[in-house]
Amino acid sequence: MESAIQPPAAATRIQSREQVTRAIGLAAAGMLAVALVMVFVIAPSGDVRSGGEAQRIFYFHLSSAWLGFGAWLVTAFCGVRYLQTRDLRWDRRAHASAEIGVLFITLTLLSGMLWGRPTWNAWWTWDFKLTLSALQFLMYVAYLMLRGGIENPEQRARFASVYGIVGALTVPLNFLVSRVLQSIHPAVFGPSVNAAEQGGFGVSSERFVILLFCLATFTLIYVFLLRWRVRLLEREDELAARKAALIEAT
Amino acid sequence: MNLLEDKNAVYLFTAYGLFLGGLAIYLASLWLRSRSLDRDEEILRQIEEEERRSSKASSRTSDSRDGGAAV
Repeated sequence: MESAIQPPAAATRIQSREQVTRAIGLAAAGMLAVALVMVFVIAPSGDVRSGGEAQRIFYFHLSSAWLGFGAWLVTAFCGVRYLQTRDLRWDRRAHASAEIGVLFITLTLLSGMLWGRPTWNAWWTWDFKLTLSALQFLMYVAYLMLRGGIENPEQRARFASVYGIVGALTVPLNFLVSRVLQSIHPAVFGPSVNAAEQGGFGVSSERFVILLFCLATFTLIYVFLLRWRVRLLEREDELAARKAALIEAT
Repeated sequence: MNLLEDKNAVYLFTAYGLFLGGLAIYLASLWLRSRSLDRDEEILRQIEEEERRSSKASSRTSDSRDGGAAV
């Protein structure tokens, strides 16, 4: 998988990194299978207010949201590190994290709509939290479009880092909005101003264990995808450098 | 109540289908990009080798031409 011009020590390092990535992927796949069994077999079904059997969407919905928002924070952190060090490895991590974030924020929005239909009798409402989540999705897409529109790697990394840091401000805002404002979306953890009206279902210890397992599974999936995507970006950059060297030589 | 008998089960299965489908599509896209990079690297390696061979051959030709001129 590694390029022919890699020195032997670097090639060995890359190979062992790829083996670790594969091992993480296998572990994540195993955990995903266990998580599905837990959700469909072990988890108790919800009451009518929380959507009956559709309440089981909650485990993967929240785990997706955890990654959808967490990936922004990783992108912002890598952006800060890039601006400090000007090392393009941080920019690749930021890029990879944002791309994975798009996937998970999309899954969060779609699964939320599918859960909202039986509980709220509506696919979508322009509630603060939902609107902010939709905005976050659009900001992710805009981040990737911004990257795609700038040719110079240093300039692209600089612009994307600043955008990533500013965009990450929506993450704490999204977390707080259903806790301090009137919102149809329940705040599962922590106090909120309208807990009773939100149709919250309370996370029992049984549900909590399953939720924690799902969160751990999704985190491992994220690490696997991030490592793989970062490696692909590294290879793309290596290839571009070799092409440029070849053109210069001829 | 049986999971399959619940009227909301369709939302549940659609949501989990989306989760697994979305993940599968992204994994497939990574795999396809990886394969495409493998192909590009192989083509580049061939071009680089060809380039090295032709530059060696041209330097040998110019060496012999220089030698011939000296004689």
